[in-house]
Amino acid sequence: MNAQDLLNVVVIGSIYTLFAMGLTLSWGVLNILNLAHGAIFMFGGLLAYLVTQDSALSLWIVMPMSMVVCGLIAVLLELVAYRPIRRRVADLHASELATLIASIGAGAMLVAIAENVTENQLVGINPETFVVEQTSFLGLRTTNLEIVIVAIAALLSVTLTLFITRSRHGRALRALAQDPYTCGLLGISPDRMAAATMFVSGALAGAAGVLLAMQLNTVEARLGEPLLLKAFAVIILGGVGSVQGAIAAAFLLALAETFTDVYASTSVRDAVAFGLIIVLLLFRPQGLFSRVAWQRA
Amino acid sequence: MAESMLSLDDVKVHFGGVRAVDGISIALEPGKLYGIVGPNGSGKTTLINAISRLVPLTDGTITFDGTVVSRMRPFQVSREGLARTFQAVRLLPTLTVRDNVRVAVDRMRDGDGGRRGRWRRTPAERNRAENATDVALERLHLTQLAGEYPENLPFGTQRRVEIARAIANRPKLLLLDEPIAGMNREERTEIAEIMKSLRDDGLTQLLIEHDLRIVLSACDHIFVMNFGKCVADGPPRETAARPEVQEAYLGRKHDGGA
Amino acid sequence: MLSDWFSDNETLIQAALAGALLAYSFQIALRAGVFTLGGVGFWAIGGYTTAYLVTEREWATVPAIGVGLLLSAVIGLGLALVLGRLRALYLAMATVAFVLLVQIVAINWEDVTGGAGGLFGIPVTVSTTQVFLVVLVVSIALVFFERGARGRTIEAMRLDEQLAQSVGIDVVRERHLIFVLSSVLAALSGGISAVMFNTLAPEQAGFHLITDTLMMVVIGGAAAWWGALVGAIIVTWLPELLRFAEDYRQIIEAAIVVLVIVYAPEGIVGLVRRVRGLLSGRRPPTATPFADIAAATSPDRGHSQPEAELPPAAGRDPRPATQARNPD
Ligand SMILES: Nc1ncnc2c1ncn2[C@@H]1O[C@H](COP(=O)(O)OP(=O)(O)O)[C@@H](O)[C@H]1O
Ligand SMILES: [Mg+2]
Repeated sequence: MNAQDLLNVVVIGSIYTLFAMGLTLSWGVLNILNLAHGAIFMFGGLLAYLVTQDSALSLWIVMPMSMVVCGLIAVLLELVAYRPIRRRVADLHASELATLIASIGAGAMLVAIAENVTENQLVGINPETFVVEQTSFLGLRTTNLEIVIVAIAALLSVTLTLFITRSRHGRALRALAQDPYTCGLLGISPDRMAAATMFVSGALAGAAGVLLAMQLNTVEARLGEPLLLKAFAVIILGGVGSVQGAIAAAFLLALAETFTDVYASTSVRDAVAFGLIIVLLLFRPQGLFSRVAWQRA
Repeated sequence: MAESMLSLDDVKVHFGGVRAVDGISIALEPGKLYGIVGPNGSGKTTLINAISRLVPLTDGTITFDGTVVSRMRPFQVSREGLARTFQAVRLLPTLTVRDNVRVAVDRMRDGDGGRRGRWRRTPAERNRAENATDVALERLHLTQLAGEYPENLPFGTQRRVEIARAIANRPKLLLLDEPIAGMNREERTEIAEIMKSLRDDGLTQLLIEHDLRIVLSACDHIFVMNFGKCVADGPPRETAARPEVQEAYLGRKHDGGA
Repeated sequence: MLSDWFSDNETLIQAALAGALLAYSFQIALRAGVFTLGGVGFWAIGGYTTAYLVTEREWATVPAIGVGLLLSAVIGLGLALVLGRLRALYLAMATVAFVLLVQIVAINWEDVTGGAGGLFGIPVTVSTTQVFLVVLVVSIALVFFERGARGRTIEAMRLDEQLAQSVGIDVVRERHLIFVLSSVLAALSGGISAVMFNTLAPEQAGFHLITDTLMMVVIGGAAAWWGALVGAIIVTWLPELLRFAEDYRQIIEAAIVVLVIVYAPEGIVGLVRRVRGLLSGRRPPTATPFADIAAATSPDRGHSQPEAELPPAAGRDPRPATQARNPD
């Protein structure tokens, strides 16, 4: 494993970070394991493809736009599916399971829509949106796009971490995660916070979708699927709801995968994440970094 | 001294920094009705959860009818003959009243005292389970309501179903967590009478209750808890009159009228 | 003519029958509160075992399927021992990981599984009638299984695990039993599918099959065994029924799942019970793994504060609170 591989780890880890942060947020705060997250992510790339079809737009216009739309899609799911379930079902496990299934259905719907739009073809974002150039960084081969990916991931994860730990709304968010019942009494509207959380979660997925679609130079309806279980592994590794944990875990997973790639074979690469899930759930279900709730008290 | 039905030796249950139960040593003699009183949050429910093994012990030993149960799993102590009710009513909404009681005697067997799991049951065993269900329903005046679903019943009646379920398997010790909270005066007296008659049949009971009037009139012996410790115990009236008990109770919120 | 209809639709009928067995496998687990989606992995294990023994070893069908069931029972027990203490979403996702691991094995173990391309030309050795009889027998067995004590035990395990323990139910052992049973049913579906459709490929045993099967359970309703059967039939015929929608078919299918799980989580079973309730004036409450009683009765309730008497699903630890520090 050489420095070039490590650079690869950083790029892949950045994509995983962007993807997993949104997922861990909605799970940690709202108990929503949103399996439509992968489809929302794919929609980010798809939107970028659609708006650049006729004329090239700058990435700095396309990406914010995708983020907003993906955020709104996530809010829509919250409004038409997840919130009604939370309202109707009092039992937490039943509600989690219903939400999980609803999110699978919602994801399938988005994928089906994308298949219609793309007519089951591979499509690509207009390359003029962001002209990719080879450059070198500390003597390693890379591209300006990869540098942008890493920078955006860093920017967004730092912003999100600061927001959650420092801002008033972030504290409200954590209050919601700890105790959704009484936070209503504290003047925080759980419904509004839930919608806001879903928006942020969707927006992060949208950003990740655009960037990965640029990096791979393709968009297709099932772009998000392989990432979902990896993100699950990342979340378990980092501890559910912990954004910092997710960031660290994203890079760890990228490292482990690249390691398998280099020293074993590519075919078992995907097994790493799945195996990791099972092993982790067994031995450290609270995640590598976080402590169990009662230890924190 | 008679062999005790239940004895706790320096039992502690800590949740992180919260010392919910902090070194309780008590012993219950068979056939008596015991009461636990104490302000909210003093650890009464946690103590019952510890005895029925629903929370892990931080320290200490629990001996139930001569068997050390501190490390057993909940279903094992249940099969040893310990039954309980919950502070919040916990009935199975999809089952009828009868089936809610029946679920507690489904494992009733002949031969080994009805405690060990075995795959098939003989018709005689099934009959015994049916009879035990009938007896429990009868005892709590629920025979007429056997076919109802819990959601259609008033709160007080739901509480009675819980008690019927708890006594159906003829336990040796019954733990009752605020069984009459939220009931009206009539219902309270009815339940108190039932508890007394169960005691007269030889069932040992440990009752958590805020309503001092009921506790004083029904219990043989009370324990007063505060901050996870047993601060006083003895015959109900004298104990309740002791100054430190008055302080524990009146110094904080008194919600006997709940 | 009925026989014409039968031969025109034979493939669909076969798919519905195999689907029903897999749906039973999911349903029995979900109803006992064991949120495993691992059935699809056992479907693959049963399918490949049967296909391999019948094709390569020229075994007779019944013993070949039997070996698949046995193998699945053993692996299912292993999985139960390994993952048994996980709950809810954690168990669901861990078992999804198991399914995908099985799929990766199927792709890579070319000697037995034919690799990514799968197996072709598996001899077709069962008739639709025989499969129908199998489904019938399994349905009857399930009716008996869930009557009486076992049915009450299952309800208690799903609705209130702590309560179940406190009335003497050995929840751990019961969950293991459910795990094994669910695995065996799934393997039966897989084994039968292999010798009914003559091909088997790893891509069949992926996330897609999980989604389809969940759809059957949700649409049919999980509160009674026949919900899975009805669900299997509906989901199998859905593409036919929605043929008019052409390109929008899959979108509509997915939308149906969302609508049902959000607004009618009791599925067809709930619907039938409601109609029956209207006719008789009295209706047993329907609770499914996806909805409690309140969902059917009072719409605006929200999560009620569970009384602080017992640790409510303590923190983020996926194991039940009571066992969180109880290794034995
Ligand atoms: N599972 C738990 N995790 C953390 N703290 C708990 C838990 N159960 C109870 N406690 C705490 O233990 C203390 C005693 O509670 P409890 O036994 O319910 O009191 P009581 O029944 O006397 O009102 C309280 O401070 C409560 O917050
Ligand atoms: Mg209490």
